[in-house]
Amino acid sequence: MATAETVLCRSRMVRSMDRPESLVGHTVGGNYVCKGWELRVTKRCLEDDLNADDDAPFDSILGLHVVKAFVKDRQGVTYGTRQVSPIECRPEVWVLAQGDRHRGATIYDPEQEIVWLIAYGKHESGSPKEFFPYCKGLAKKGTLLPTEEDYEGLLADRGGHFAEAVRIEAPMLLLVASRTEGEHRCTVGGSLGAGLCVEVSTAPDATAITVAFFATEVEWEQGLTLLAAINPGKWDPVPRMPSRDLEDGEVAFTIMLEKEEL
Amino acid sequence: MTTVVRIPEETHEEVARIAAFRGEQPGHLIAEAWREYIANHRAEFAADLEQAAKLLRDGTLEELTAFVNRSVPARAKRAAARLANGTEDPE
Repeated sequence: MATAETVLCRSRMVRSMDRPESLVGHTVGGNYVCKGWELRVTKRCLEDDLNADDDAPFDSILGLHVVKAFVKDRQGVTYGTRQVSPIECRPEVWVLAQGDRHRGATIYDPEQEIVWLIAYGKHESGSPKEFFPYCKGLAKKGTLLPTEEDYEGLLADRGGHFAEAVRIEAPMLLLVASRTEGEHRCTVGGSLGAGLCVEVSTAPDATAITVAFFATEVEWEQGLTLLAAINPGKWDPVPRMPSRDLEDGEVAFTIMLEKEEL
Repeated sequence: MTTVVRIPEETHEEVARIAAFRGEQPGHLIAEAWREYIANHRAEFAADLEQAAKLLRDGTLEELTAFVNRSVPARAKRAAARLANGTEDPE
């Protein structure tokens, strides 16, 4: 079916592009967390090129030459200095080099904020996995790029981190929001989780908690879990925040609590 | 800052026509439609919310993760297809 693209505005203030400091330089399942993105290896590359399990945690492969280079060279920038050619591919495939022999191929997916290591080979003429012909062969077979299963692993690891963080962070953010005048903008689980705005309005006999987030960024289940973690009661959709109109793509929910429910 | 939502072309054209007729941006109309959707699916919303609350209260981390990741297969399919089709992020 033909598709068209509709552009929605979203607030730069709400979404933190940076991962939380506490996670940067650490691994979450198969991901290595950098400041503005994560690093991950495709299942095919793990199994066929690195001789690891296709669901190997990132910290179990950190000792490999090419993975060391992956972390060193892609934690600051998402691209290399030269592309793997003559592969005609979008997004661009960049060469990752470790010493004279070890070569990797990486791509960056800006929508998911992930740099993938998609192939590894040796820069040796006659080697069964001579890097450049090997990459070209994979591209020809259609097995170079990350698959649906690769993205399932990525998103599941992020979801796991969110589920872990939401129970701990939601009560804290409510506490901070209740002490903040106006709106409190924050993330739960850092950029691996969800960005949201919370506003607590207090009246003599009741308090309203209103939460807004971008429907384009927060998955339905994440949004519901966030709301339930803030308060397990009955939330209702509302057309605006107490102190402002909603931005395009933003949705808001509110819950009224009697004094004794707080 | 912007983000991209993929919708069928005919829907996009219809949205653009109605938005122009109302003097609004298509994005605004879509956000409004989303809010209306939520309002019209209160029962589903309430049931899912209750399930999330129950899992937070009584469930294990694995059960909560499974709920949070319920839509992962569909999202993964879209992400892989977008990458394979070479769609560029306008940002």
